[in-house]
Amino acid sequence: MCLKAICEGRRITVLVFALMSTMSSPAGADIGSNGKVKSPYVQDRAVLAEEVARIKSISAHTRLLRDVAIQGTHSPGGGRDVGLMYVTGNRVAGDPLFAFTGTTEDGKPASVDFSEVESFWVVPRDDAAPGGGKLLVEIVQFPLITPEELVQRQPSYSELFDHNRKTLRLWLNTQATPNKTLCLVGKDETRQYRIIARASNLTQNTKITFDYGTFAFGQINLPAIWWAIPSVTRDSNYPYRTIVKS
Amino acid sequence: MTDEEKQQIIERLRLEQQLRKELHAGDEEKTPSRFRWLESKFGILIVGAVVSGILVPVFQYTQETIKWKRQNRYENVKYNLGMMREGMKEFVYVHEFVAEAYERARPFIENPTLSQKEFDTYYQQQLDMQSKRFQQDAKFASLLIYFPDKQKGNLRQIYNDYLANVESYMGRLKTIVQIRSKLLQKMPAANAQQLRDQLEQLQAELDGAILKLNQDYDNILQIMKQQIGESEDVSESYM
Repeated sequence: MCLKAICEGRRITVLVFALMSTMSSPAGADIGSNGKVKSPYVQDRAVLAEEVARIKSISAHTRLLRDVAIQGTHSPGGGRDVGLMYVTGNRVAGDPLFAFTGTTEDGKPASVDFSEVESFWVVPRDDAAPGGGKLLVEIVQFPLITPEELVQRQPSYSELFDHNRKTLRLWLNTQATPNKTLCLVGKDETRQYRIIARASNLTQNTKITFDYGTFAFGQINLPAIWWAIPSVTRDSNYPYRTIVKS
Repeated sequence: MTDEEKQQIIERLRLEQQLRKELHAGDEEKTPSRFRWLESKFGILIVGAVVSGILVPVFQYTQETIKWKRQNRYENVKYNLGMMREGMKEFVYVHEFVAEAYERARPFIENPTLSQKEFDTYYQQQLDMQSKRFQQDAKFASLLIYFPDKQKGNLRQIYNDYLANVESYMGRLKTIVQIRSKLLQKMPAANAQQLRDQLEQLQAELDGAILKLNQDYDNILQIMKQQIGESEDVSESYM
């Protein structure tokens, strides 16, 4: 059972609070009845492409994973600042990659930045047998748009959803060397990177959804939803809203 | 006798000598051993009695002990698992008060025209709700002991942080309602504006507080789910 008590209101994002001392309070925005929007931007203020690009970069490094189903265990994986890394044994050392890098089914090299990933799942395939060193994943890319185009076009959420969403299948190499295996890694409560799951152990046919993390702005944390510019969040279908979960 | 016949006789004598030596050696090996009595009927009876009277019961006892220990461990894991699941359920109820508090305060946050009577009713309901919340907090805290020691510190720490954030959130809600109540009274315009500014700031803070509470809630649930999953793995290992 999941009852959601929704916070309604006409005043804007939490960023207003952070910026209150440096700028005048922006005008209120009617955001409908689904709670206050989550956005790193001040509503009703023009957002620059550079600003979006900066937050997009932060977004790629701060994605969250919860309830990742792993074969052979009932314990779900999860973590913050999720990345991909080739790991020897259980020791996580070095910097993770924040993108899916592999080849398409046509054999062309491709890379999908984590800031553009909505969800992914492991596709079961006979030619990707365990121990075969490769894995096929289907990635839902959203939103597939550059910061410049986003700022220029000023789309609504519904427009973004209809026109800037794509599904891509990528072959990933699960082994760099015989000892190094591809792992999803994330930070735990101690802010240390640890293995969430080995790529080859991810449960097939199960969707793994990336959530957005936060970044510090002054005294407060803002959600790194880089594409949540005012034109997008004004749409009543925009799903990221401040709610009290229960 | 020809030389050939003599040679044959010598050869035969040599063969006989060799045979005698070998036969004599065989006799030495056939010296009765100390366990030869085991081959007797009495020996077999004794061995049978030892095996069926001592070794089999000892083996059965050991097997039963192992089985009992295994069953005992399984029962403990199963019980702990049940309590951990109960703990997760109770934590969801703990968080429900956060939503309830907001819903109770919402008319005062959004509607500036309320009567003093409505404020008095709110304060009374708020007291009752807080009392129930503390009871629920205690109920959940008592179930925290069933979460494994390895992670218990973290879970307890995050829960304590969560409780501190809830307190701060409840305090903000209360202050918002109090400011609304004050705004009902007549006062100079400058004072009223000051209160309205304070109200606006508190509402913005409330958004940040909700965001933080939701993060803490998700973290606690995630840790509990992981620990329950680990216990389920252990439980299955006994099958």
